[in-house]
Amino acid sequence: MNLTVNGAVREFAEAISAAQLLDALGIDAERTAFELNGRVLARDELAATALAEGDSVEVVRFVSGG
Amino acid sequence: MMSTHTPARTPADPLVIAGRSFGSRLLLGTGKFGSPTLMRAAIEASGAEIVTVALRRVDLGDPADDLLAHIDRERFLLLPNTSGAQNADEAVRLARLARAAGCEPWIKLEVTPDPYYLLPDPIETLRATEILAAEGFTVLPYMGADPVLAKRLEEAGAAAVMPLGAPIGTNKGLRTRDAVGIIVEQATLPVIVDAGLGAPSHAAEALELGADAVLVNTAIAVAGDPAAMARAFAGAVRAGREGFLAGLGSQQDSAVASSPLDGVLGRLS
Repeated sequence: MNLTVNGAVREFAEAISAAQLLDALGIDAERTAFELNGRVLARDELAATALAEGDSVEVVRFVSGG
Repeated sequence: MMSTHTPARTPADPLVIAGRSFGSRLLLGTGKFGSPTLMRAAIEASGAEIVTVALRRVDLGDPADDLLAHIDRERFLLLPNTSGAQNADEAVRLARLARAAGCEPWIKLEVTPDPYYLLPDPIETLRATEILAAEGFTVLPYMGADPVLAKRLEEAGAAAVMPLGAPIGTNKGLRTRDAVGIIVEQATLPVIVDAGLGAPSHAAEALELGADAVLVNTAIAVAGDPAAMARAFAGAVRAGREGFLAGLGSQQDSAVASSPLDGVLGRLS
């Protein structure tokens, strides 16, 4: 299954959930926000949201800024 | 992970935004510091209670990198900005993501389509303010120093207005002084001068003029000693505020003697 994560295509051997994607990438869900195909997911939706071939994911975090 | 900002004490002359009181009238941006250590020292020295942050993609090559490790969210209200947004829809998207990332629903709205001057788009800023206010956000829009727009943003549900002193990062000072003065005169919301303030005296000038607060980033972050510059700005903000509250004298075109005019000695001939 191919997903586009933060602009880069990544291949996954089997279907995964949004929460499993974050685990696989070593990302702490508590410090980030998750957008799937343009829709923001709440934290409690991550585990139950299955990702599908071709999905576009953005994972964002806070950085320094004015 | 919603945190509740609790001021350490009830300040005597608080800055009140959307019903929340803050003891400091200096808001600090966290960009451009040479290191997290310098940033932390400057935050402490500034006395700021509101610090701005931006939202960007997680670096998949360094997923543990975390600004929030350096900011105590029990002590500081994190104010995410929508920097990078070039229209209202992009700003709304960033605001929603910031809220989902665990921030309280406060947003410093920035819509800057032109990368050269980074001036805010008034139409898109107004549109995004309407949308975000309706979604329950506390919206602090960065705006050109346009008194009419300030009123329109008030009507659209903004919680404060943030007119620029000069373009972001230019250190030029309060070049919009007269327009900011009109905004202050007409405002029923806090006026926070944002962008372009390059020296403590610029911040003092804004507060003397009646602005409720200032937001400073570049001038502190890139100073030779950021913590010392943060202290200097904090002092200037207090001095400016105190001067404003004390009541500035009116300006005159000709001299008005400070010493008595009677009892002057006879002239030497």
